[in-house]
Amino acid sequence: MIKRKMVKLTASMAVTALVMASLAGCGNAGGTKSSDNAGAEVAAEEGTDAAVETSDAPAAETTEDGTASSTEDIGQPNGGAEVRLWHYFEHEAAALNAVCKQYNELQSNIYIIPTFISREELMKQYTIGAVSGELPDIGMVDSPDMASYISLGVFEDITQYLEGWEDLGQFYEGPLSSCKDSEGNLYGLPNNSNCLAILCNMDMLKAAGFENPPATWAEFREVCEATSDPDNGVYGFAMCCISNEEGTFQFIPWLYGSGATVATVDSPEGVSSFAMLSELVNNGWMSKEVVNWGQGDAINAWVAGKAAMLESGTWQIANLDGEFKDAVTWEYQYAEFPASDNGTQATVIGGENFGVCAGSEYTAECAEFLKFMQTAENNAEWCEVAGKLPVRADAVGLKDFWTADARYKVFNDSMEFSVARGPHESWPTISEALYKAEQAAILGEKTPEEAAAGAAETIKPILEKVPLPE
Amino acid sequence: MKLSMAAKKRREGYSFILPGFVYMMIVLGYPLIYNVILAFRDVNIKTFKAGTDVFVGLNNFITLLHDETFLLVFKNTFVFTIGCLVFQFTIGFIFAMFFSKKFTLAGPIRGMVLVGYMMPMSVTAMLGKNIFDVSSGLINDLLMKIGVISAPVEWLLNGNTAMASVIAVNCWVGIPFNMLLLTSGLTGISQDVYESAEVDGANSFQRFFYITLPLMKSAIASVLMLGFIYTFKAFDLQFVMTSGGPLNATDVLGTYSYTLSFTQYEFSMGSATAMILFCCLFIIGLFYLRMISKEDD
Repeated sequence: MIKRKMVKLTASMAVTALVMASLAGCGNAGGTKSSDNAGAEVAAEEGTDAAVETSDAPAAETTEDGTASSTEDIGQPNGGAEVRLWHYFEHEAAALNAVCKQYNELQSNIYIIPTFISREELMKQYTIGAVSGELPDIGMVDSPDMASYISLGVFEDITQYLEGWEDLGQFYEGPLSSCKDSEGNLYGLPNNSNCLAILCNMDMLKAAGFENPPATWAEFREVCEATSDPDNGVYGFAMCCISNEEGTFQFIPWLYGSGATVATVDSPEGVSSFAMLSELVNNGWMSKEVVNWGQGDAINAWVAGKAAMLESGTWQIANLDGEFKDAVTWEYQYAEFPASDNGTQATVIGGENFGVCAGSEYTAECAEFLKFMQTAENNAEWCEVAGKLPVRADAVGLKDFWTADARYKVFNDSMEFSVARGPHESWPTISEALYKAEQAAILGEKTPEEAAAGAAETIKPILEKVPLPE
Repeated sequence: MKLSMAAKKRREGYSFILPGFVYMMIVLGYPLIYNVILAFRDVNIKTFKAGTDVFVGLNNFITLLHDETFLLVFKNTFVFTIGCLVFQFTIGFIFAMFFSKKFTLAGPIRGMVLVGYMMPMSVTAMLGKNIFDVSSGLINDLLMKIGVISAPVEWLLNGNTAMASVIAVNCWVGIPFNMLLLTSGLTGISQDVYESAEVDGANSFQRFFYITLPLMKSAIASVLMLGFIYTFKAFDLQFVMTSGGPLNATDVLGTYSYTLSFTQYEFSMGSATAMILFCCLFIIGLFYLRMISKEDD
């Protein structure tokens, strides 16, 4: 009898705990820091501290959620206050560490400790940090997300520290605007820019009778048709249409290239952009699997010879020179996005910003570091090492790789017709409407007209309240 | 004042419970209460920083019930849970019966079946993603080689097949879990009962339906109930394997709540979704507790 009661009690407790845990696990997402996340944050912090305090252990400390840089990478402690910088630069981490090291050795007010955290995790930590206050001193963010984080209070208004800085006039308006709120206050500085272009396997194009990459949508269709062999898993084109911001990023050039904008997504031009992508899939010129592909998966397909053309970003040049160097045995060429049937040409601006996080005790010092990191020389230097495009006009003339290297030149020239995403505090919702519509059209769940109308249904009420900047 | 023996014992008992109670209140109670508060307010990206969120009563729940995506997600959660329960329970039961027989290598093989259960769900989900890949997945390759299909099936690109794939992967984990619990139930049944039934002329069919099933009733109820709770609150499998796609076809309440809170910054809507998830499980939990207390009486 006692045994039975014990079983009953244990079962009751197990069920209660399980049910409660289900809510504790999900529900506190926006409200408070879950125990798991708290642990992750502590782990990340501990990792950081350990790397600094243990000067005889220079190896980078990897924790569950972050990899703090070693003292070898960022210089010995300079006696200044420790300032935490969170970023998601993986391949570019060494270049970022070098900038931090330079600054740590230059002054002794603050000691910058960069920590790598995966992008998804970093975004989550910012959201949780907005509630709990557990934020780093300096945070990196994908430029279209900045407006949302400014609204959430993740970043500190640093306008006062940047006022009077004559260099500010040198920044391109597009990237700089992504660091501002609706009143024009600055919360950070843009770090780099990138955009998208078409990467062509010229061996495949030439074998199909094309000497040059396509310049128009009509030519693009012809090349796709001639180079596709779906029975053998070879397609004319590969891109990323995954259900996240990356999917929207890769869709924008088609949307704006059609002559539409986010605000006019359901116009006949907007519908034609959805129709273009569904045509690619329906004709067997692009794999339907693109809806599950991130940008990394798409380039993997191109490198494996499964696609003749790829929608590729500036940062991928570094991959082609590095990890894919041996695998890419064919001649390749970057080309600007083709112009649509009405002659419009467009691409999309990507890039990262750095901001000073709310609650930092060293806001002024951190703002100084941002200014240092973004001087013309440092911006040019950093972009060269990391394979990015500069965010200020006077940095362009300091190096020649973005004009001398034909690949970078394509991206540099494309910046003239590239469009920014947002900035808009509701960009995540707008973005979701776009990638869901894109996926619906590609998977044949909706006609291009229905997909465009579905996106507009979500987007238009948002933009009626707060329009996108001109 | 001298305490009676019983009161002393009771006080001692409370002191043992106290640490666990405090732990539960901090780790589970606080987020739970905070979640309830959030679900009845309008905390989102616009009101968050300014602190201008107000009490909105049931508005968030009403909005959710008019949201097509939520209704799909709600349906998905039940389809996923029931689909998983049916397969993992049936196969788990067969496995439990099979491995309760004494034959060579029964132990090691049973141990191997448990590998699926021991793997972290995120790893299982990654494996599932690769196995069900259209062009390079193992399943398509295998099915084409043995001639079951002539062209690759777009497992994760079609809503129905994507749900079936996710259920299949979850069953890989659920079957050993069911098997494990049911095996312990089976070993509790005395062999004498079977032997006397056999003497009375009961065939194996009768032995199963008139001895095994009735005596396993409580174990079966526990397995189904715990399985329901575990499966209903699924998150990591869908998050890693399909991201809830294609087009929310595999999204469940857990992942949708996360998306609302962390991607859309609709914190109150995310909390309301989690509340609905909680209420469903709470009802099931109550049902289960009532059932076992009835049994006890």
